[in-house]
Amino acid sequence: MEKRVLTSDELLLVKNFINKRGFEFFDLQLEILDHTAAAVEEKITQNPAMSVEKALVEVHASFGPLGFVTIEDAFIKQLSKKKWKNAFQIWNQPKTVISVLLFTFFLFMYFKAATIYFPVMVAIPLALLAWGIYDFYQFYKIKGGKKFLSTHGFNSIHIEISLWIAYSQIYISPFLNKNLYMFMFCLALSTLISWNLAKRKFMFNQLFHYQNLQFRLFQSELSKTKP
Amino acid sequence: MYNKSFLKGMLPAIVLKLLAENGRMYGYQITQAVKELSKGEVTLTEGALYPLLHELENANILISETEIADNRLRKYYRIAPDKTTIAQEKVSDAIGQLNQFTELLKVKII
Repeated sequence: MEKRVLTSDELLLVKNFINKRGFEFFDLQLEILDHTAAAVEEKITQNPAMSVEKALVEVHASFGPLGFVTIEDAFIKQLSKKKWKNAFQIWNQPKTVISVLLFTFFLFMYFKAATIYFPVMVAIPLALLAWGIYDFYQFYKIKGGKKFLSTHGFNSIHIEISLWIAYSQIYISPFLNKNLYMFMFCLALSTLISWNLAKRKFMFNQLFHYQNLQFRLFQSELSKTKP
Repeated sequence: MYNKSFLKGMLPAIVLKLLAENGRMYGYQITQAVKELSKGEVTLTEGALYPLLHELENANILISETEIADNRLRKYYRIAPDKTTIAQEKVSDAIGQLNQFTELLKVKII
């Protein structure tokens, strides 16, 4: 029996079916789409009279009461493990530890010597915010209107704001050991920056990977339409 | 029909054995291979297969590669070249455990 392969239009039908059930992240859809499409293909190969829509409903039912959630859960778990593994991997490298310590030291020396309020309390947080906005724009451009689980929850701006609020305490509280407090702040800030750099690298790599896959798929579809 | 918890314990060995024999496979292909080999007795659900594949990938035992197949992207899994011995060990361990259980079950209860 010759295997029946879904056409591009039928694949779009499967994609929309997955999308309508709330699985709208592109990277997650990729995981679900091939498995579902392969199962549908098998059903319509065995029973050529069966419509793709009916086969799709039956395949979805075969996933059990949780539907595609089983694949989603596995995907999220893997992604989370990957992110943490990647983030911790940088701390195994001596260059990261040395860079963070050196940056902490120079930042501490600068803050200690700084007498002007503006650069410390306004310019640096603004620079970090600008960096965040720049990254957001870059991600937006690469994503091309699609949603990705791989870049979900990237923003750490709330941690940065908390840090600066904590830092501002230094000028208010008479009970704090100013040098120690300032050093702890610098260490936290340096750690956060290197953490963000590692996360940023991971997410850009993920996005470039999916962008490359989309391009290859587009090229393959294009080559089929050429006379 | 096989006991689910028993199957769960044997699953890594089954998947690694299949991958060792076939080189590389994709998710749905693995579920079908298990179904065929067990003559329909064992059904490998997506909820059991994908967490395992991801777990083995995170442990660097498996590597995945995405390719275009049948007008869509398909993720293939294969055993990492430097992890073939680990995979073989896992399969041998499972066979060893099975043999031990078989011996245990052969013991006559007085």
